[in-house]
Amino acid sequence: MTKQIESLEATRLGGFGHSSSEDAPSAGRDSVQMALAGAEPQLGDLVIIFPSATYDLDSLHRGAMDAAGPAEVVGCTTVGAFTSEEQVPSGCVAAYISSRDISFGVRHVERDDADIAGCTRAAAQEARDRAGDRYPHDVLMLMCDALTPDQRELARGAFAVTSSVISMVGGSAGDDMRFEATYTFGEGRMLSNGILTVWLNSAQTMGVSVGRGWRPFGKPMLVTRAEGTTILELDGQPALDAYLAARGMALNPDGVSFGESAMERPLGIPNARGRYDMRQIHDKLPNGGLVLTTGVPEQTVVQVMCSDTDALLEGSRTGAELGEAQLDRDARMAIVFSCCARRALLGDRVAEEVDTISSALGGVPTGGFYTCGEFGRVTGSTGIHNSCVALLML
Amino acid sequence: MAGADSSAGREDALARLQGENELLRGRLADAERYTAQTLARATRLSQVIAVLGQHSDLDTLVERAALEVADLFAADVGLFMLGPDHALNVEGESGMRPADVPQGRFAIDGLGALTAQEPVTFGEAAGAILPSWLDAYGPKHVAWARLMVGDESLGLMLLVRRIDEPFERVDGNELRAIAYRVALAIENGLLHRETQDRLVRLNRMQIISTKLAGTLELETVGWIVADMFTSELRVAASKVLIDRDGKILTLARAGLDPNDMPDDDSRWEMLPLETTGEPVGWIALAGMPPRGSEDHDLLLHMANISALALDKALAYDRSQEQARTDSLTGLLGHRVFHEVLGKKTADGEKFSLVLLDIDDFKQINDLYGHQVGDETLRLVADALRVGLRSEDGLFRVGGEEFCAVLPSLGHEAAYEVAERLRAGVASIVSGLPVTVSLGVATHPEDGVHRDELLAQADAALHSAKRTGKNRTSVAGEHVSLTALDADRHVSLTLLHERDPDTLVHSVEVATLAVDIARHLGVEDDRLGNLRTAAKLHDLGKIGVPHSILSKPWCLDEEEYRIVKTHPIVGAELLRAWGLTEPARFVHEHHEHVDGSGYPAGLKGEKIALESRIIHVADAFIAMTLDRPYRRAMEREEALEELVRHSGTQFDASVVDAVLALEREPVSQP
Repeated sequence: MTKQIESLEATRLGGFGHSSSEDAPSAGRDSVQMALAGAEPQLGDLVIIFPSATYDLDSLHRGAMDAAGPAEVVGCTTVGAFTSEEQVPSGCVAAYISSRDISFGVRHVERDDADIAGCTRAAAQEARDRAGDRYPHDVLMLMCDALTPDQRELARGAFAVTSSVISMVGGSAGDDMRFEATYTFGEGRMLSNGILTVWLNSAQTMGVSVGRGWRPFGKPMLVTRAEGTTILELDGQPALDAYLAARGMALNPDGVSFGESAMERPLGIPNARGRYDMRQIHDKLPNGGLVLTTGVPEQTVVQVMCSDTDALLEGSRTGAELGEAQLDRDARMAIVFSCCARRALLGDRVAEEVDTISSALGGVPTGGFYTCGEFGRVTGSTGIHNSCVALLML
Repeated sequence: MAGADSSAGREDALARLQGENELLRGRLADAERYTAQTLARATRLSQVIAVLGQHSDLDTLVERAALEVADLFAADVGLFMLGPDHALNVEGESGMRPADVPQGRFAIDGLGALTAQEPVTFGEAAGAILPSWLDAYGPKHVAWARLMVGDESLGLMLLVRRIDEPFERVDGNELRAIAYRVALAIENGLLHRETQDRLVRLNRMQIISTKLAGTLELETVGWIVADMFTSELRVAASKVLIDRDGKILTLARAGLDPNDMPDDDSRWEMLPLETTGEPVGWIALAGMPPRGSEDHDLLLHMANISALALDKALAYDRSQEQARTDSLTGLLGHRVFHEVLGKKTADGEKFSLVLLDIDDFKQINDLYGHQVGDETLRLVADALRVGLRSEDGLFRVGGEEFCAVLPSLGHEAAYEVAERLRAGVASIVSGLPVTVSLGVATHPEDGVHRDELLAQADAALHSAKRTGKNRTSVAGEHVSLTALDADRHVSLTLLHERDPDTLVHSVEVATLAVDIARHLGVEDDRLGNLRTAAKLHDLGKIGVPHSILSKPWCLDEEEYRIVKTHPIVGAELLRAWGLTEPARFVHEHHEHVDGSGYPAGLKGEKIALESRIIHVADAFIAMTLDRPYRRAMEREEALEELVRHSGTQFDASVVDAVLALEREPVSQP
């Protein structure tokens, strides 16, 4: 099934397309063709694909590249994708962005677990060099394998290149919550341990923002023992016990993984600006440890967080407004990296999130995917988020 | 109306409630934000301590601290600058483009007010002290903290916010505590770095010490020592000096380019390299570390090790020099002479040889004793030195034989030098008339090969002797060869062509044979024939096919039978030349004292003593010389071989004499 969601206009920067075809090459090709909306892809243009991990991804990738012609194809697998017209839980969403006033630099590398920050830094630098510095505005878009041992290291490496003056946005790939293998696409290849860096050097201002919508629920707890991305103890107790006691509601019934069940009660780390940096609990360990996707230092205070659909949608709207405020003109399109937890919590109202964002931006083409971790940094130094929605406004 | 009033009242109430609700929501949001900030602040210090505890390496520690502290204080840029305010260096940063980070040292003025008592200041960027290289980051608010440990400042910490959210007083209080903790961690890191550096350095010093301990060659030791002081001990330039015959010589230098080395002696500090209180040399150093510093202490320690290495190398150098030098005259000996001659002929250089022999030296020894003989040798050597140019070489090649090597000179010029030498010796005032006869030969005209040239010079010398002594003969000009001489010349040339090593070998055998004979008390008048026989003991090899002489493996029975004919052939030739006594010695020089030798199977004293001497000398020299069929043995190994066959193949008294000579070389070669 394909559907064209944007009409081709002379001033059009780009648009989104999607396909739910079960045939992998068709899904790749059709979604890209829809995003192109009849435009002739040019060398230097960018096509982003967000396919389900259940496809024959090689074939889908080839189909997308065939349709994209000389345009660079990048992207990653998802926990579902969407456009402002359609939720695509199983299928492929594609975005097309013209290089008319944006220069793209792409670098797609294999992750070196011994030096995640180092290889991210090198990739981001290479992407930046490839994009050049013709225009005054820059943003780094980052996508990665969801099984990256510590996503904070990715952000640290990227920050060494962006510095505090260039924003970063992006998300971690997904495989429909199986956490077995996620994939990134770029430079003509697909990687299961990839780091994808896309540098945008633009003539126009770009906006990056993060929408939240969470509030503290439980009592503050101190991380008294942690190793890497695992919290072993909270307030001196096994972390799992402390978490379950603080979450105030039972885990979901059997048949749902612990990670999925924990989505509605993530952890929040209060920060100096009075906000909470959200951290999803990905898994539990037999020793009572809670596994996160990002390292949490010992002596950190955490609180169980809660939300509801209205709060989440309000968070998304606020995020869109914050991003738009960075633009000196109207937004032309928006790419959305929304946490898979939000999709679960929004339930039947899931499509309202993209609608809310699109509406807040004046109805611009909007699309993206459900992630296993979001990147969004405008100020501060990390830019690692969970349970949030990260937005790139062009 | 009432319904309308009621409806309006409800709407007002609803609006009021909605307003209150909004207000409460706002208050709740403020309360949440305030709580989050409070919670974040409450644990910032302990979080920083936890992060600092994970790193001991200073570079990583400061880099991570910059990121963590910036993150915890919601700062966009975090900087750690270490050093005094006038020479700061960015050791850790977060949030800057690498190209914007200043390289090298820089000064930040105006922060002198930050002290141990009040180490933190913060406020709006406008009007604050801020390096200009941060302007591009659009700073809105900044916070400075001095990194103090006690009263010592390690440097400064700077946090920059690009958003309009001021640092608050509570931030300042925490920054103060965090700066102190970070300073402690940095001090530990510095100590750790220093310890690591010291360990690495000591390890390198250990390697150098081991290298020095295993090095004997003087120049190499000099270079290692000079280089060590500049590369490892941080001095600008170094020179290793030694005392050589009363002159201070620079053995090696390192560090600055020679053109940039200080000329002014006052800029060098001299350090004596002493062992047991005696200087064995000096190390001159430019840019010494301050006295009492750790570097200075280490430098003194390494100077002691250098002194030991230099002392050992000097001792080795002396022993090498002694092995090459005749201790009586101070001239280089025959081994060096043959090396020099071999190299010059191989290189194709033009040069002349002046071979000279003291006339009637035996009579001096006989009439006045060896003491006077030795003194005569010294006087002749001194007289010869005077008559030569600095580039000429002078060697004592035999008992009373000397040889001068004259680079670049042809027949005519060499003859003039030879005559000057002759006149110089003749003018020696010693109460005894001392004269020399000289033979001149020129390379390559008189001989391309070393032995050929030497034979020509020897022939010229003999010509001078025969024609009246105290004169000079030049090869090919003044030598009038008799038919016998011509025959001898042809035979020697033939032998050389057959086996080029034989003549070298023979000269060495003759020298050793004469030494052995002297040690055994053989009278001097017998030494002439012994020397002749020893020099020509392999003359008979002209009858042995070249293919056998040059065979690189052991001979078969028939080949060995042919080789065994050479004493007979050699003896026949010598008899034909009228050299009867030498002919006998040559004939018997392969006989064994137990009768197992050839060609006659003679035993014990039936074999002439000279032949027994030549046999041992021949075997010893042969064993210590590379041959086509085997590599040379070590001298000790060759001596063991002689001892093993002493009393069976070799005369035991002759073997004992060789052992004695090897342990205590005779004064007259």
